[in-house]
Amino acid sequence: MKQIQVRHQDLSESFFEGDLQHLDVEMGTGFVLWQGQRVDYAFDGNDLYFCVQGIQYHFEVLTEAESRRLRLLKSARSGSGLVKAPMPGKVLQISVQEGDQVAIDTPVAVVEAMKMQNEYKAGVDGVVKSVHVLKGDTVEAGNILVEIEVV
Amino acid sequence: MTHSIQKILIANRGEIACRIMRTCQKLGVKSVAVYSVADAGMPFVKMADESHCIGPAESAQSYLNISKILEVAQKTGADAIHPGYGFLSERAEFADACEKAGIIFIGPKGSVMQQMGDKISARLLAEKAKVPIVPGTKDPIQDVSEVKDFVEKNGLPILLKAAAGGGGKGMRVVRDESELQSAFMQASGEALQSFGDARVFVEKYIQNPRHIEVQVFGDSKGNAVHLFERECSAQRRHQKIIEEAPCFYLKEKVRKKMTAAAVSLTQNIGYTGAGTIEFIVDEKQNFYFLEMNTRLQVEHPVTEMITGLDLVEWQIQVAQGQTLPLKQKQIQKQGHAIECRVYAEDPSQDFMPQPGRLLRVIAPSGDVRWESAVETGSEVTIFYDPMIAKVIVHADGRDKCLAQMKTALQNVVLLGPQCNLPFLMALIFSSVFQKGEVHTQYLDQHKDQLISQNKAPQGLVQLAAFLKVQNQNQSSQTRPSTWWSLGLQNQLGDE
Repeated sequence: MKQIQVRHQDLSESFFEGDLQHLDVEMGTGFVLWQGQRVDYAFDGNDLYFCVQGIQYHFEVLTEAESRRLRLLKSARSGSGLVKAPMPGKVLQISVQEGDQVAIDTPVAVVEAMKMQNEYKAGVDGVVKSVHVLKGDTVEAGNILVEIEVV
Repeated sequence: MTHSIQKILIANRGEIACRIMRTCQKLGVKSVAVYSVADAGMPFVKMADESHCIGPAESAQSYLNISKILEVAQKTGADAIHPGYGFLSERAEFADACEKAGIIFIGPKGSVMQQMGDKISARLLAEKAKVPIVPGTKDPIQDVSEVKDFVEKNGLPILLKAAAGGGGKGMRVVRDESELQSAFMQASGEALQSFGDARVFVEKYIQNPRHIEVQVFGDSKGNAVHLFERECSAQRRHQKIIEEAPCFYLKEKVRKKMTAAAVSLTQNIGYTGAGTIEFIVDEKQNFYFLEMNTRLQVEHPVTEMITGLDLVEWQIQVAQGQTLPLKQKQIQKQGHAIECRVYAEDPSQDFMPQPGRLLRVIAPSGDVRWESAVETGSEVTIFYDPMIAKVIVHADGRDKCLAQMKTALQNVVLLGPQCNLPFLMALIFSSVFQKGEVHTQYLDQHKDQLISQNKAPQGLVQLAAFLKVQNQNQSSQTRPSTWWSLGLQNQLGDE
């Protein structure tokens, strides 16, 4: 993720030199006329979504303290061979067991979500260190399915 | 024997439930919605004259629960049931159960549905009606060795598909012998999961085929007509994404033969109501029967746009025992129509479905038909198909139609879960699509070229920070810190 710092004093209405017109003042969502086009937006906590010409842009707007916390979390997580469920679903199949040697793109699990079966693959070459779920388990987004150790 | 339908229960959800209710309102027919716990707040529940919860989110216990649905129909005094598409729409046992309960099922007879729903008997019936078919196994396959025998005789590639299936579930293409075993397991596993029937069958696979289908209608007096064809080759994993009517590259001679074949099959099987006969068409415009969908299709609006007819109204009239409202030569087509299906899925993450709450939904304005399942605040759940809306345009010619579609897609506002709008736009803008060169495998082979990382317009970051400050000032007394850190979510998902 790209981190961009914006200084608060730059953010007065004058920054946009009259190029910004607020048209909808509903809390948390609305649209503005900006640079001659309509831009719709909606907040969801720290997430801010824009829609420009049918395309959505997603920002995470954080305070300095929140941003620092996030960076710490990230650095602790990187560099592992974790295969995670990107969304909630049901485990239909686990194709590896502890100690198995796997190569990049070896299918390790099949998870069913929204009526589709999705195959998840190893992201690194290595050995399966542990399998965190069983066939039939329900998983949440972000749950680790299989952990692979690079050897 | 005619009976005037007074109240229709809609055994479905989402956009199609809303679509059916609109015709009910037009005809002065009362509507009853049934819904699962997960759908309690959805627009179709509010739109109906009355709504009844029929069970938990899992389809098996709600939208597929025949006895519960019939119980509501009887309790509310509904004299007919419209099954929409998907769910129970092609379950013969449901049509039979309705008949037994004395409720009109808006669709064909259970026995006809059964014949056409089973791909093997459907092929036999097509053959009997002299409709061309693709070489394939006559009997369902239970064992992978039988697949190997077929490959030895007919070569690769082959297509495995669920005997009781539809909508791309339980389908696999095998191009290499080494994939045979795993593809067979996956196809029959998915078939069992989706349809409760693990049997699959095998057929020769036609390279770069086009998918063209004919809308047909039959009545209980033995009449049958067609409402022209639809081009549906823009598919991803056998799911249609964009449909058009008519098929602009189809030779008139082929159109005549194809529609005549479709009508003959419809008449031969004594079909009543709306149906679709799907064909695959090779590069020389030879066409082969693929299957018949014994229900209203997702893409029916493009046919409505070019014919000016209301297909749901026709369905209701036929179900009441009336004769088809028009004769073949009275059915005319005018102009060109295109439909785009909007899915809550992220093209940059291999089209992974994206559940979540829609923070803002605004229909495109102007000359466009918007068939939507959602509104601001609606939840996209993991339980059902992620299709949330359809955008349909109609114009004099195809070029005008394409231009109109571009504008329509740019005017859609959907905020929250990522949807496939960028992909639809890239496809509509592409020269391949404009020239009509998209075949049914094209998107699976070339989708990466259509997935672009849309760079945020310059200055949007500052606008984001500005709105955040404003929003915070509005909503709380907490003082904003001196600077904000903005992370631009990389659209390709890498961190």
